[in-house]
Amino acid sequence: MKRLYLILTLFLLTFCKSNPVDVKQLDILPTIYPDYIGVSIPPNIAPLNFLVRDSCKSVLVSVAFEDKKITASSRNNHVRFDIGEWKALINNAIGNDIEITVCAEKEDGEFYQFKSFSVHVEKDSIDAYLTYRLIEPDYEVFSRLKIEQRCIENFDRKDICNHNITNNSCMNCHTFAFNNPNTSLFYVRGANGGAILNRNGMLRKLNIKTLDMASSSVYGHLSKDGRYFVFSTNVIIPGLHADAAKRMEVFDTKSDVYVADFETNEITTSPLLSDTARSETFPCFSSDGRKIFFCSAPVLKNNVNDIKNVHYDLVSIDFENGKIGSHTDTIVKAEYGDRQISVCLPAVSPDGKYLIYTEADYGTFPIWHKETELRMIDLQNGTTDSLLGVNSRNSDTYHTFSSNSKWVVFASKRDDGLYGKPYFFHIDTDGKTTKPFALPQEYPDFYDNCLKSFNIPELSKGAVPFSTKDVESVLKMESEDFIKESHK
Amino acid sequence: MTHEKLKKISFVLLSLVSFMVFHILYKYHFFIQEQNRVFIWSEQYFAEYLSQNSILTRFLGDFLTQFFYYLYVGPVIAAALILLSVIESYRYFDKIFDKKLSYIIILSIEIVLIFTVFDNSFKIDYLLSILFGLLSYNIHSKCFKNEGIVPAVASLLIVYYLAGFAQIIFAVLYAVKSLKQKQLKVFWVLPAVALIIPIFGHRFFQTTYKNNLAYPKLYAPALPDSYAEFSYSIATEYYFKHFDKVEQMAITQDTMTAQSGIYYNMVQAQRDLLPDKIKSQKIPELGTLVHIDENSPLEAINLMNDFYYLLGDMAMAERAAIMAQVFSTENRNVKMIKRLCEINLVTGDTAIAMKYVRILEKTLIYKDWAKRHNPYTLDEKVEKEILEKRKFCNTSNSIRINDNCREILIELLESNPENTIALDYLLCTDLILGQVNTFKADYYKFCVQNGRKRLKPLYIEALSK
Repeated sequence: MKRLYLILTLFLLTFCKSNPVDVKQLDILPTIYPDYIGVSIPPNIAPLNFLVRDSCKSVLVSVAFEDKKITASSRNNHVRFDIGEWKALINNAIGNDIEITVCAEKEDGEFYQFKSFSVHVEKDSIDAYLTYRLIEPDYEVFSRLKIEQRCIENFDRKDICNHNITNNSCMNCHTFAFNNPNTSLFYVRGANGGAILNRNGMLRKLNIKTLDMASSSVYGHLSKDGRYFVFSTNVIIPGLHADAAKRMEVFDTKSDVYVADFETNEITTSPLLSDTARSETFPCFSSDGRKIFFCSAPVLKNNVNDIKNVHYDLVSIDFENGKIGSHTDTIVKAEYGDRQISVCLPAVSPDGKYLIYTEADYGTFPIWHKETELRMIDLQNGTTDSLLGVNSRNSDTYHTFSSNSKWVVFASKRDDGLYGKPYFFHIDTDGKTTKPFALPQEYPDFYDNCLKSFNIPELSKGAVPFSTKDVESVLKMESEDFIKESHK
Repeated sequence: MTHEKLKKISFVLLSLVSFMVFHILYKYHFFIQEQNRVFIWSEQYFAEYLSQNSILTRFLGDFLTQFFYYLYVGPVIAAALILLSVIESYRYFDKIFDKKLSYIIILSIEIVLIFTVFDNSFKIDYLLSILFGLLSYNIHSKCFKNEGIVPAVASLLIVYYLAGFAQIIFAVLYAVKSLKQKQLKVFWVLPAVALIIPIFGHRFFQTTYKNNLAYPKLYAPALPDSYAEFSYSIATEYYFKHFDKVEQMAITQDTMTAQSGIYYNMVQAQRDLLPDKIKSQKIPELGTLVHIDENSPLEAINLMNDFYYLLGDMAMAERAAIMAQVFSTENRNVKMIKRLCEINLVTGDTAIAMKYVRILEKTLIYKDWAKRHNPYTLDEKVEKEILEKRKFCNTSNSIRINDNCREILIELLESNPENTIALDYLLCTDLILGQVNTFKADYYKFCVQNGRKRLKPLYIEALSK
């Protein structure tokens, strides 16, 4: 304690002109970015570095739990904590609140102390690694893409795949088998592209497409054991709203769902998954692998503007030992009462308890719909939580669970409506959720400077066991082909 | 005057000539280099440099490039770096070869470097790496007298990290000197190490061997591209709103290019003279029939961004601006950041406009611009312009799957019938396509029915047909 007091005094004497005794107490909270006020965090998260948006020349921030306190100071508005001190404090505070106090030196040389705010440290840890694609918020064109993996316990990053090794091709749709870093898949498009399947670091390049498919796979999900890959093929048309605030609209003129078996290199489907009168998309496995959830809507007809009348149901179908069931169940109906909604991107928690989906007014590309919100179904009792404390006025979507089913990461455009960023929220044993917080960055102004969107953030328990060099090598190989199997 | 002095004077003179040539033939190229990136004063931004090799020359290159905004600075810096490289070459070659051969080599180097500047994708990092390679070898040589392979390898590693391909220059200079000193056992070692280092570079910098070897980038000598320079010049003068100059540049061409024609007509449209001036053009280029996609050159994308912004279609302007951003150096284009800020001020999307303001606040050149465009403290003049622009925005609720300009123009006119620029573009497009009946229908709908008759001779003549 004495040491901390000494550091604090030294700081104030060194950097501040005014006497720190003159600190004026304010009864308002500071304006900080990212907004970490009142959030809940996992105990293993990197320090919550932030910017003080209130006009100031220097800042001194203290984080306290019981009699322990750490401080961060700077001669601008950037607050960066020492990672070692942060970890030590947070480990002591598990299950409790930490109190953060911001003291700022204003332009007039006066010191102001804002009202303190708390951050709750949950008992549940979060998976240490987050994978996402970095892309400009305009999916029509791309250049210099990369899929990056970040250790969220600190600030380490590494590329899984980047434009240098793919000849600037598109890459997307990375997915893990329920957070398992040893079983994952992502796509590289272009001449030497293919689906890159990782099984314990051994990479295979696959051509998951048969002649009768409308396209290669677009949205997909791996079964827990990594044997099956359920995916949709989509003929995607990008459109542009005349209203600049709405920006893009992306829709499918055709889409079907298939299942690939990575042991036999066979692809199968069913008339229920590839109905010519309907568009089926966004498939995912249940945690036990015995159901496939997907979204389904009548095929878009005639005019592009009819997309506003296309609403996707959430549907499930049985799946066992590679066999697709003979009937579907509608879990969420797109049309109920006076309201019509469109369900997108279902994701099931690894413990099988919850299913979270995205709800938009219409269509199949929620990232550009400001009204897009997350909804959570309790699969045990069928109730739906509208996640009021989680959703924002801008798009909230592309969500996945952590391996312990206690944390959810999603891409949110809440800050500016254009650039998506990874946000996390906690689900406790009673299904209560918390205010989301943004992925902390080493440099607090990272998000201000970044001109890319974080696309499809996905958590994994560990780092992927391969490097870009391995991806570069596998891309030079021939793709493994798949054959179509008749309906089982 | 001694031969030595004459030699030195010839190098300096050639540099002076190169400065003048760069300024006369390539000043807009230098300006576009500056526009095509953004250098921001941020610890986070500086830290990004550490994740790739060639950190020093890339950082210095980007730092210096921001000053290319000002006239003369780009050519001065390029010529100065070439001269410094010549001085360092002189320090090396003059000691190794006889005077005549050394002079020929150095002169050749100077000429080659001058011509590499004419490559359309040229970046100043290249000259900095060349200079660093020569300079670092000379310093190393002075410290270690070319003795001991271990210090040489250590230096090579440092040179690679700081200046990328400069390590190859270092290794070659070392090898040549070793050969000259008949140290046949070691002359090959450094070039071999220089070829091996990028293999390990892959681990740290996550790019291909070829990229790692040539990082930041190697250029071949090229001849000046006067077509590109003209293209950059007209876009730049339009950017600075030097409309008289744009007009002058366009009409002094034997035949207007598509690009200069579009800029010329954009100027006329803002002067309310589009229908008057279009008659004198053999093949009028309006921009209404231009389509842009991922294969379009950056100049075309930039041009269409200006065009849609002029018409008032902020959705299309934003699309073009983000496209230009995507295809710029490091996906950051300062002109487009400014334009994206303007677009979002017009649409009233304050949060996103503020994001761009925050980036520009961290630049040396644009911080005043950022201050004037901060949505919370908007400059009075800027606010007036933004509000004026907002009146003409597209308020339709449609979705488009192409950039069919006829639909866009009609939506703009339905949103605000007073959008005279959109009206003239619609009517003039009808006429240059020879669609007189469509013209008459459009004129009736948007001029007669709205009670806004536009009595331009071109229209009166077409209506009488």
